[in-house]
Amino acid sequence: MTALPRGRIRPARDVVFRELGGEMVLLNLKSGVYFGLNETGTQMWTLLVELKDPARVVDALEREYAASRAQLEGDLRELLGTLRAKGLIELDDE
Amino acid sequence: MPASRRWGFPRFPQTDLDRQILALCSPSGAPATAADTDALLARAEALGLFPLAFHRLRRSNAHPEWEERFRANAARNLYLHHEQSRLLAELSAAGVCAAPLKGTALAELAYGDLALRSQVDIDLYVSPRDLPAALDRLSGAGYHQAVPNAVPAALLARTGDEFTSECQLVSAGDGMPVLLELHWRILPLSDQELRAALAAQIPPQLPHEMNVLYLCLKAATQRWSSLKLLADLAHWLGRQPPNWERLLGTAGRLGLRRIVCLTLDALGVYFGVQAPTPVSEALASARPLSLPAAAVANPFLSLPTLSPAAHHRLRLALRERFRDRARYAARLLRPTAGDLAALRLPRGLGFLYWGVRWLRLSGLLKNGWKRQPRSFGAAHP
Repeated sequence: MTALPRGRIRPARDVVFRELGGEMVLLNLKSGVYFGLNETGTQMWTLLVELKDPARVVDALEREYAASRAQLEGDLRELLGTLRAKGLIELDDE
Repeated sequence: MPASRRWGFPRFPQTDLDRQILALCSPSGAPATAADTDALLARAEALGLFPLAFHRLRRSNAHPEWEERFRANAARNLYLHHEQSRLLAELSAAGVCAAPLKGTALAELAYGDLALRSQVDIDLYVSPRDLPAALDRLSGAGYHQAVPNAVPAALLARTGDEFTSECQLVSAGDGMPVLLELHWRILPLSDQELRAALAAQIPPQLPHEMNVLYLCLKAATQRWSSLKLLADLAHWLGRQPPNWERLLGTAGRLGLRRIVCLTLDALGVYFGVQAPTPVSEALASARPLSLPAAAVANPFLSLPTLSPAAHHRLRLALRERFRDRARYAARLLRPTAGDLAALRLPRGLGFLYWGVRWLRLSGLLKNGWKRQPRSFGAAHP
């Protein structure tokens, strides 16, 4: 199992996001790639934008959800992998 | 003449599916389920109401493809919203008086959510005196006129009225393709008056009552065949009722009471929206005694084309004041952007466009010297 990325994460350049039709929509204005997040994904994204650090996001999620830390880390890792593959987030050193 | 003897808004036959969609998409509609969700959504899409219908059906079992289509529409609207902001910033930097029309601004006003309206293009108002500067700046921002051999901007700005002033541009960059429509006469107001009204808002936009009048005029232009536009109006008036007194005053001053009256009739017939009784009573005198059958098109069928003559007869019939009919008739004889585009004449022969206008009105000339069958006419001659 790979660990959560270390360091700060931010929306990629040219990415805009907004809650639309009951879900968070992320859109890369240059490439046209978009992605919709469900309720949990929206919360993860909101925390990521605010806190920037994945470990702190898991801390915050742990306080809110009755799931194990391992489960929350796994979910966040999966989301970050998808968003990175779609070019919607960047790591600080990128 | 008693009000009951006056012309009444027609009620076109509706299928069960159409009735379900109207109920679902009316301002008082609530989240619901449907027996055949796919058929309902397909029909809602054809009527321009898919995002709203889908949103209200979300908890039922729609095919995942619809979910994706809804999300794609939301993403596209988000894109158009940012692109519109970018273009308005460009125009503002060039000192151009511009304001957004319909679009994502209307989606937010009407539904509070720009995902709930399908949007094809970006519509902007540009003051006619600024049209050349606007086209120049937009060219630098990656937009060019959609029609080859486009009419020079200074000439274009002198043509058109609130029904016809329109110029289409397309984006030429690598991003999503965008159609941009510029309009430079949107209400029967002087340029000076419209500029002052826009400047009074920050950021520049049409004041609420003028925006309602503009949408009523758009609805009339489409012969009340666009359920999407009527739904927009119904939801907006429900969320944010206008100052009716001010709206009626402005409509009276601009000669638009008849159009407002008929639009409110349409909102009542399709979406059950009723204006306050004093408003209906105040508008009763503007209701026509009769209207040609083609004045109102069936929104559940495709819009039939009209001959140029029928087209202008309708527009004359929608004006309640003699002076507005006279103004329209006078403008009808003046060369339009379509005339200028139909035939390129050397600068010194510009006066011949008055003849071109006659040829196009009579249907003899459409695009170049090509005789048209008498039964077929352009939608916007």
